[in-house]
Amino acid sequence: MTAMGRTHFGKRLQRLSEMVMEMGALTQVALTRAMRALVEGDQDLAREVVAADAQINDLRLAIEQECYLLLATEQPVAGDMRAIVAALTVVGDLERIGDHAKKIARAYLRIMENPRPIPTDGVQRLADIAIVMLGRAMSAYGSRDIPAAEAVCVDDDRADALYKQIFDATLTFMLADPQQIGVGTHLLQIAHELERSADRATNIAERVIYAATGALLDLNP
Amino acid sequence: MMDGTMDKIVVEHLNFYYGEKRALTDISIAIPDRRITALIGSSGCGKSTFLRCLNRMNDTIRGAHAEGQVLLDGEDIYASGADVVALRSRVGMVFQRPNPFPQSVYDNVAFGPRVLGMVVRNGRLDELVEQSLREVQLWDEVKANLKQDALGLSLGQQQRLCIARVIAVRPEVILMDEPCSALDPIATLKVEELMRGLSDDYAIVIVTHNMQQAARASDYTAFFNIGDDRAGHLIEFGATQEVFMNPKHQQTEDYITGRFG
Repeated sequence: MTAMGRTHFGKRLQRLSEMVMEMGALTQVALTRAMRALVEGDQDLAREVVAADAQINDLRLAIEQECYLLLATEQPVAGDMRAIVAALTVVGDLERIGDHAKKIARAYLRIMENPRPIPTDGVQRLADIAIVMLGRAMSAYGSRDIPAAEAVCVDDDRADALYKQIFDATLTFMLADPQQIGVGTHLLQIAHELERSADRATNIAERVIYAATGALLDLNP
Repeated sequence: MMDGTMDKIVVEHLNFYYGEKRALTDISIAIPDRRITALIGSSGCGKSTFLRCLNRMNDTIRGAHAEGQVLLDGEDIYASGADVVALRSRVGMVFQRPNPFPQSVYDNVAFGPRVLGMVVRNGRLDELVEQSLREVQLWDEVKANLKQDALGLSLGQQQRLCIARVIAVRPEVILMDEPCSALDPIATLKVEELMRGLSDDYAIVIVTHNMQQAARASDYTAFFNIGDDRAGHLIEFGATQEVFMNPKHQQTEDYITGRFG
């Protein structure tokens, strides 16, 4: 397409997409660092993750504000309208993934108030899946790659299955030793935050398909 | 037929020429009854020419001729022996600039019925004038002085008067060629509101350069573009919400999002 008209608007849309990608990168970093704090036992890093969430929230508000301005002043239609609406919903999911990372870091800090060994294998594997899903969803967002977006939901089934395994194993672990109920409860919360992160990555993939095709799908029914 | 409505005008393989020059190529479209259909496209894409084909307004241009069929309720308006005067009373037209006659408000609205001999007794003509002015939401603004000169009205009022003049002859289709291009935003919105009401009773076809107007004021949208043969082609026709949210053709997307080249 030779875009001779609306160069300024086109640049703003491009910039909007870059801001969303930047926010995606920040949330991936937040999840990765929250899990590293947990697995490596790094409380300073966990506190950094909690503090860094404000930056993600600020970026979300800035992107939202830009979307509203574009809607109000440019009367976007068709693909332009879908790009802006998709950005609005994607940053909502990203902001929540940032919250999930923050909650993982906080759960770890609570465990460390009464330190005990933490069985992290399961949640680390779940985190690996969720982080890869988020990376793929954001990459599909950047390139409007429909097959890549559709592939994200396949991983979500793995994430759901693994979450159930972790749930059962943690219950067994708590039943075997009531001393572990505190750790186990926090571990269940961490697994839940990761499972929700994977769901939100699927939501993002759905919005990529909407932006590219106009189809509103539920990839994770 | 679309969304359960009947087709009012069915155009089949219409080619239109100004002398040797082809202006429209192979247009086929079914215009629904009691709905608003917007025709959009850049200047020179043939949308106004197409509109004027629907009541044979182009006939007055020397050398202009049409091929193909334009069926109004199944009857070809270009068939030999077709009554053009009767056609234009069934398919009325509103133009870009309001063009009231330099007469009173009353006489403007009464003009068509008088010419067509629709109403002979004066009492019934008064009723028809009032009803037509009410339908265009102008009655309350002019009822105190129906003898006032129509040219003394504001442009927005003049345009609504012209619409009243069209509907006074009880047409079936109203063609509008950029009816709001000379109006301010408030007068424009009044005309759009009026169109919504009128679409309960009439098929309305409107040419507009204002894409937001097409998006908010029409039920169906047809996008025309200039083809390689330099004539107008129909690129896409569909429900307005589909065309503006998810157009099927890249040319439509480029035009409505303001990208061209």
